Amino acid sequence: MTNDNSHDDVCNVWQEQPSAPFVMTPAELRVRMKRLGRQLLIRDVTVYGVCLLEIAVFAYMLIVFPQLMVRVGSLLVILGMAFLIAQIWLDRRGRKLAHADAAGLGTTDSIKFYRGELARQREFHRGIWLWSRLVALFPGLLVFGLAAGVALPYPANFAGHVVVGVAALLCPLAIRLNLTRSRNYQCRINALDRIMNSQN
Amino acid sequence: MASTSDTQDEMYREAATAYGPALDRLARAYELSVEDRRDLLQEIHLALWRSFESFDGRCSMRTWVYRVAHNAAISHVMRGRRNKSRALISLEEIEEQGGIAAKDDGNHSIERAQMLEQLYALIQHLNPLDRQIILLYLEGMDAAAIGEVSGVSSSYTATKIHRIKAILADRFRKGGTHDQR
Repeated sequence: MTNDNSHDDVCNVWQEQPSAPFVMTPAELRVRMKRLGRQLLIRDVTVYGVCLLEIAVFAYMLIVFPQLMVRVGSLLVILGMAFLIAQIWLDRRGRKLAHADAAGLGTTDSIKFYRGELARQREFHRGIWLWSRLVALFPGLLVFGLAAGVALPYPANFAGHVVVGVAALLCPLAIRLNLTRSRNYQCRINALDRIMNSQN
Repeated sequence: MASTSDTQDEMYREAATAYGPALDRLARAYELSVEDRRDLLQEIHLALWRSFESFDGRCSMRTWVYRVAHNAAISHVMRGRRNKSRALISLEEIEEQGGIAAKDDGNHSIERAQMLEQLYALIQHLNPLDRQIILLYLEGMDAAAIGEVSGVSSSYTATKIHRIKAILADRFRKGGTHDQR
């Protein structure tokens, strides 16, 4: 077997793999579309449900506890969660629009499509998206935790200390993880840009 | 007169019949587990069917099908990638490393199944762009056709194909010696 023959051989072996015929009927495709829509809806309802539950819990604390700082902390958490819901909604809407653009899959070169996907992921992990998520989540929790730790009786004060500890630990970790990921995505985008620029 | 929906269904059926086996191989190259592969294959078929709603014939059906399939696969990989730590590399890096370690390097009679196993091991480590080029090459497409699907120039694709051939020749050299006897 010469080298050239070996290439043909590899291609032949590849193409001659046994494969079961797979064609979906229009009815199956429509069912699958509906199922996909249902799965997305369930996921959205779950995410929004968790956020709303947290809002309800802190709204309860806002009403029940008279201490000013506890109330301020609760209010900040509620506002933060509302902001997070809006952000998730915007992200979901972007994804749905991208998903609806089925023609884009056929008209966009793969290198541009891949770059677009990488850029979208990079943006999620840096800039305004990242900092607004952090601002939405952590200040409220810190204020609430500190206030609860100082002003409320045991065991609520202990829970307050735990909240502060966890938030203080998670915040820098979240920043570091997100920035590392965005840097990784940027490296891959740079590599694709080099390929695209070399063609111009 | 056929409705848009009928035309879409008809075009999908035609494409799925003609390129079904290639799409199956593509899904296998992206996902090793049977369940994930089945999911990806369904995702590709769904994307293909939806895309035919706006297929205007400005490119060939083959180019359209492969673009949709590979882009859908890239989306799939990107979604899963968040939870996977393994880094994807380029053909150049594989060449520098002397290839991905094969399970059975000492065996001089490489059977077809082993050849396929090694091919999958190689493909699974590649970044999406190089993976696409090698898959289209294995499907028998030339540099110009691959360039049309992927959006990179023919000369870039030709260089990549040259590397693929070098890696494959190196990988399957032992099998070649055996065949020459």
